Amino acid sequence: MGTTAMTIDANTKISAILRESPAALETIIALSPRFARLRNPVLRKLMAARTTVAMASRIGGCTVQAFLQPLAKLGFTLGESTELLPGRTGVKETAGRVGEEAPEFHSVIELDVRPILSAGSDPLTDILKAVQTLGNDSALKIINSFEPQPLIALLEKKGFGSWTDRLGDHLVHTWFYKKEKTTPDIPASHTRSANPQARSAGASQTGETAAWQAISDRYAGKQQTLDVRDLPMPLPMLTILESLDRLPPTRALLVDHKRIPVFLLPELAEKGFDYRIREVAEGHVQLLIFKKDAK
Amino acid sequence: MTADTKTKKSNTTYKVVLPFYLYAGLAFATATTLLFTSSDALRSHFFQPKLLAITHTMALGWGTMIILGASYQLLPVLTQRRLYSVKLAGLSFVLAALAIPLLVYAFYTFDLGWPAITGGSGVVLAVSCYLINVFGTVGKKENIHAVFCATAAGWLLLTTLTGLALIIDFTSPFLPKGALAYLPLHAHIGIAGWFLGLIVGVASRLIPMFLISKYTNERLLQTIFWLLNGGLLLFLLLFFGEAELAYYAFPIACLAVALALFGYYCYRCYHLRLRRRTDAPVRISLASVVMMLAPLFLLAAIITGSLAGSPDSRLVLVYGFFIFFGWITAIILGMTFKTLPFIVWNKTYHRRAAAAQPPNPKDLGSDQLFSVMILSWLAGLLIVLAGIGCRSHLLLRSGSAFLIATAFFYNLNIWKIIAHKPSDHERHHQ
Repeated sequence: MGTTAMTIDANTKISAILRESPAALETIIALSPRFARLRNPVLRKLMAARTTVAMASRIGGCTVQAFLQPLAKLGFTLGESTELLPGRTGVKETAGRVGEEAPEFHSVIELDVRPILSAGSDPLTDILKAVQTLGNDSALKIINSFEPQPLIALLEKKGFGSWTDRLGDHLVHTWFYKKEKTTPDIPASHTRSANPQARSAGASQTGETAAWQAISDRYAGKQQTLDVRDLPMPLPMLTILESLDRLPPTRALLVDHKRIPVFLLPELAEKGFDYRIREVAEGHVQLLIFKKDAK
Repeated sequence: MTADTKTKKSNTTYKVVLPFYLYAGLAFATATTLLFTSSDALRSHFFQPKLLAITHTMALGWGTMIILGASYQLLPVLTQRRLYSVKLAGLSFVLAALAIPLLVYAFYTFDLGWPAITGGSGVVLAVSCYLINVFGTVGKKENIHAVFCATAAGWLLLTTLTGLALIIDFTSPFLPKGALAYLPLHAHIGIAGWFLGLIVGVASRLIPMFLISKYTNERLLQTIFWLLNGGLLLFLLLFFGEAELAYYAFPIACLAVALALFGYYCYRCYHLRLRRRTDAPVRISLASVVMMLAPLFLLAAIITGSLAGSPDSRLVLVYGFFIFFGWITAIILGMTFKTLPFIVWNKTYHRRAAAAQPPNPKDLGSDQLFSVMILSWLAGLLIVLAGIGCRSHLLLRSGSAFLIATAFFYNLNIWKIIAHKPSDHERHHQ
C-alpha cells in the first residue's frame, strides 16, 4: 500500500482502489450509471470494502477487462489475473443460479433493501438477522435494484445458497436459503484464508494450527456453520446450545464468535462436547465443537 | 498493530479486576475477625465505634470493593463497549484500598479527626472515579441493566458524600438536626440505592445467563427500576419534608412491590431455564434474592416499633447484621465463583486455548471448599442471629468463629483460582 504503481486484478477490492487513487471514483462511475451510488460516502464505505473488481464488473454488466482498462490509464498496473483466481471467492462460485427455475420454499421472508440503501444505511445487519432465523425449508427474498454480489459472496461463506432473478434493469430478486447441511468447502477454504497476522504471531501458532487442523480435517465436509457475532448478549449462547441439540453426532459445528464464550465451556463439557478455538482476528474467534467420543 | 499488542489491549481489564477480589476477600476476613473480638458490642446499642468499624469494613471493603471490581469486568459485557478508562479503574482501587482501612481504624478507635476525614474523602474520590468510568462506558440509549448500574453508582456517590458530611459534623457541627438524625438517610440510600439497585440490575442479566433461560422482560425490569428509585426519591422527599413517620410506609411499599416483582422475574427465569441442573453458586445467588425480603420486614417492624415508642435495638442489629453478613454476603459468595474462575481462565488460556486442551473454567476452584464455606456461613449466620436475639455471649462468639472459617475458605478458594497455572502439558504448547 502507498505506492503509486498498485497492481490490481479481478480480486482487488474497490475500497483498495479508491484508497490508492480517489480519482478512480469518477472513472468507475463512468463505466456504469449503477456505480453512481458510490458517490454517497456512506454507501461507498459500506459497499466498496465488500466488493471486488470481479463482483463490481458483474454488477455493472461489463467484463473484468473492460472494468480494469480505464483504471490502467490512471497509473494502476494490471495484474496477471484479470480472471478469477482459482479457489478464491468470485463470480463463478458465488453467482448462485441465475435464470433457472426458482427452488420452492415453504416460507419466504421478504426484505426490500432499496429504502434502506437510499436512506444511506447499511442493510447488512437486518439481512444477517433475517438469515439466522431461516429454517431448512425457508428462504429470504431480498429485493434490490442491483444484483447483491458482495452479499451473495458473504452468505455463501456462511453456508447459504442463492438464486437470483433479474426482473428488469432496476429490479433484482435474490433468494437465500440454507444449503444442504454439509458445507464441504469450509474446512479447506477457511484454513487457507487463515489470518496471516495470526500465523506470524509466534511459535505458539504452530501448535495452535495443528490442534485446530487435526479436528478440522477429521470433520472435513461434515461441518455446520453458525455466526453469532451479530446477536445480542444472551442469544449467542442459546443459539449455539440449540444448534448443538440438533447436531448429528458425526458432524461438527463451526461457530464464528466475537470473543471466547467462557460461560459456554462448562455447558459443552456437561453436554459431552469437546472444542477447539482459534483467533482469526481481534474481535473474531472461531470454535469448532464436536462430540467428545466421536472418532 | 501486531496480533500481540491487540491481545494485550483487549485483555488488560483482568489486571485491574483481580486486586478488587483479593482485597474484598481480606476485608471479609478482617470484618469477621473484628466481629469475633468485639462480639460483646452486639449485646448493646447499635450505634457504637466497633460496630461502625465492622459495618464499614463489610459495606466498603467487602461489598463495594467486589462490586466495583466485578463492574469493571461486567459493564463492557452489558453495554458491548470498552471500559471507558482502565487507568481510572486502577486509581479507584488505590484510593479506596488506602482510604477504607483509615476510615475503619478511625471508627474503631473513634478518632473522628483527620483519619476519619481523610479516609472518608478518599472513599468519595474513589467512588467519583468509579462514577466517571461508569458514565463514560454507558451510552446514551442503553439497556435497562446498564441504567440500573449507572443509577446505583449515583446513589453510591450520594451515600459516601452524606457519610463524609456526618463525619465532619461530629468534629465541627454544621448539620441543622445533628449527625444522628441523618444516619437513616446514609444507611437507606446506601443499602437500597447502591446495593439493591446494582444487584437487581446485574443479577437480572446474569441469572438468566447462568440458568440459560430464554426469559426476558424489559418492561417488568423498567417497572422495578422506577419503583425502586421512585421509592427512594419519595423517601428523600419525606425525609427533608420532615413528614410523619407513618408516611414512610409508602416508600417501603414501593420497595416491597419492586422486590416481589424481581422475585417473580427470577422465578420466571428459573421456570424457563434450559439447564435442568443448577450449580451450587447459582443456587446460593437465587437464595439471596429470597433473602432480600427479610430486611424489608425488619425495617417495617423497626418503624412500627418507633411509632409505638422506641424500637427494640436488637431489631436494628439484626437488620444490619442480616443485610451485610446475610444477604450481600450470600450474593458475593455465589457470584464470585461464577465470575472469578472465568476471568482467570480467560487471562490464562486466551492465547493458548487453541493449542492446548484447557481445563473447564468451572474446575479452577474447589467444589469442596465451596461447600464447606457455604455450610460454615449458614451456621455462623444462624448462630449469630440467635446470639443477638438472646444477647448470648457464647452464641455470638461461636457464630462469628464460623464466619471467620467462612472467610478463610473463601480466601483459600479465590487464591487457588487466581494462582492457577496451566499444567506442564498445557504449557508445552505455549
